[in-house]
Amino acid sequence: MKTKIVSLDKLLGGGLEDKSLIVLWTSPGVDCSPFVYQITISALNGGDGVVFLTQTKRADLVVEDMKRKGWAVDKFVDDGKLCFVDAYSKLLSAPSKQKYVVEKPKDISQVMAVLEKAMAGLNGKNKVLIFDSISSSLDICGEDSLPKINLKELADKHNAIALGIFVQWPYEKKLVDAVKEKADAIIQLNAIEDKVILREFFTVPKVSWHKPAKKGVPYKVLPTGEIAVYVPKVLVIGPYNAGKSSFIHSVSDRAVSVDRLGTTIALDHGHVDYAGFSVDLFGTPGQERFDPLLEMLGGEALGVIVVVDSTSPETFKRAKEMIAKSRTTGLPSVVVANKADFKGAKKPEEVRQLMVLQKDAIVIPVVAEDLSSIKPGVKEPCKLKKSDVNKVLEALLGKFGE
Amino acid sequence: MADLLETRVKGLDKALGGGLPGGTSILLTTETPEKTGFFCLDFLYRGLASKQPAMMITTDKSPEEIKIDAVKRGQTFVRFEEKFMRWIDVYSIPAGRSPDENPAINRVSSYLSLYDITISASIFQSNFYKLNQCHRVVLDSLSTLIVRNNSQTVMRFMQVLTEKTKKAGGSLIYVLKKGLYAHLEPELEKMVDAHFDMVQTDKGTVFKILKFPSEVSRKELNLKVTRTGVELG
Ligand SMILES: Nc1nc2c(ncn2[C@@H]2O[C@H](COP(=O)(O)OP(=O)(O)OP(=O)(O)O)[C@@H](O)[C@H]2O)c(=O)[nH]1
Ligand SMILES: [Mg+2]
Repeated sequence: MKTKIVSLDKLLGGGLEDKSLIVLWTSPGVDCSPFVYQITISALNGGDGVVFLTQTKRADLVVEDMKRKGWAVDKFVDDGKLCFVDAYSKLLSAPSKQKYVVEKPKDISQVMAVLEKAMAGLNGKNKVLIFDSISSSLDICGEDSLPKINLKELADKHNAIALGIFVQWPYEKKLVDAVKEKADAIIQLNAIEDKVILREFFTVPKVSWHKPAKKGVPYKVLPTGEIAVYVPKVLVIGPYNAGKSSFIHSVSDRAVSVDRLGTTIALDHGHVDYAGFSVDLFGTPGQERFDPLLEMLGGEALGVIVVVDSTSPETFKRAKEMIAKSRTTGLPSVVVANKADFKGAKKPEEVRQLMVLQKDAIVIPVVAEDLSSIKPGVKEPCKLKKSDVNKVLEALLGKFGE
Repeated sequence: MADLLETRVKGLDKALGGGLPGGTSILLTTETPEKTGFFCLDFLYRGLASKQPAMMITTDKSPEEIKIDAVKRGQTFVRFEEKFMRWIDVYSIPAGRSPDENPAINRVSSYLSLYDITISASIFQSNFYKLNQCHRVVLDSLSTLIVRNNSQTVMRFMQVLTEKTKKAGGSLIYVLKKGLYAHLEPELEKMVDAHFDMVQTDKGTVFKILKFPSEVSRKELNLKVTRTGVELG
């Protein structure tokens, strides 16, 4: 089953396997709900049924939270495709509206028994069990309840995927190791922390059906609720007047530039969410006197877009020099052959040859969206054709997915 | 001590020899929850007044109720809500209320959602750090969380919250109502840098400094609630 989170499916060798226990591993302060929700929705949209255990809050509040974060799940609740097992209400001796209620939530055997019933009663192409959570079970039912959390067996029996959430509180190492041991796969959410959490990334440190890769993928949660792979620094470089600022303003609706008389003197900055990625773009000035900036920014870049004016082959050497100066050779990169709308503009193949690029280098011709809006003789960033710009993004981001 | 944080709570800094060392965690045990509430709000408010962000994790009252009470003492928290004042409301939803949305307030679904509290706290504290190197946090009360969870679970939560808060430059007070959990006091005290205690006597409310990282000039003070906050002397 695909999680539909780019890169995560790749790290998992395609997705989540049936009959397995996947532990979604997180730590206090790092919110795992976007992952839980996106996996739940991916399953439901694919026609699967989902049983969702809640131990620390009312089930209707989970539904509300999903809705608030962008996921409409009402219809799945109504047709029984998403069904909750309430192991919370009876802790407070409160009534419950759910079909499956655990009368004694502190007894892990009861929790598992009700889950078993709910799984058996569920219809759907395949079944997914969201177990929220292994850590809450340890807290509520006691640490000795771990052996009785037999999610793997439940998954086997119902041909299902079990996703168990584990929040790593300061438990004893032995207990933590035992949880790791139980898992067929682990999706781990990590935080880069200094004084505060700066950035979050996921890893897949364990996966029984695929070779685990030592790779951390930074992510961001988009306003739509989806998880996007975060690419914090793509550099946009190229000679003076090539169209870098134009490119950044065309991909991003909230780009800012520091310009003087039409030429960039400090930085262009833009941001775009596209195809499962969330990307920050930094454009450098083209003039040589700003080259120190190029070296500075190059060090942290994760990818490069090289913009050239395809009508000015005499500037291509300068473009190559800029790649060298920014020390970005070898990073995922795309060459934009800009101003392809001009007569006499070099074709992508010619650009590749004149720039002496490698055979597999990607060169994409880009044109202005509306030529009539470009005033001759005035240097001012212009709008580039959206479909061209998207081709550039796809080509570059495709390399990040690899 | 170099980096002392003046609490600016009247009379407290003098008793503490200048203030709190940066990133102090405090256990505040009490017999007088109402006055303790005043003290805690005063602690937060004095910080806000000197541009230190503040976060209140409240389990027994809604932020709305607290704010109304505070206004009566001349403290208008609302005017800091744009940036500096943040609330984690663990009361309203479990109590079955459905208050209005407010970006300064994160409401947690239940007393058991300690994980959700840490998520809200992380978000708030990340923003605090951009505003000031130090901030203040109050959790009122630990007792309520212990009633609903078991004490081990709450202590793990405390350990995490203390660590995160200190890292982000915050000082934090945990309120514990005495009585029910007297047996936990020694263990809880070990987890914090300082321990204050508030008791009610015939002469009034006594504020005791039971544990502090450095030498203090006085170990017992009288606490008076004034029109503008509290005063120790
Ligand atoms: N016709 C046409 N004009 C373009 C195109 N792209 C950019 N231009 C024009 O080329 C000029 C330079 O564009 P900019 O985006 O400012 O170039 P830049 O690379 O940021 O320039 P510097 O920051 O000074 O190095 C502007 O006047 C744009 O309107 C294009 O695809 N077609
Ligand atoms: Mg520019």
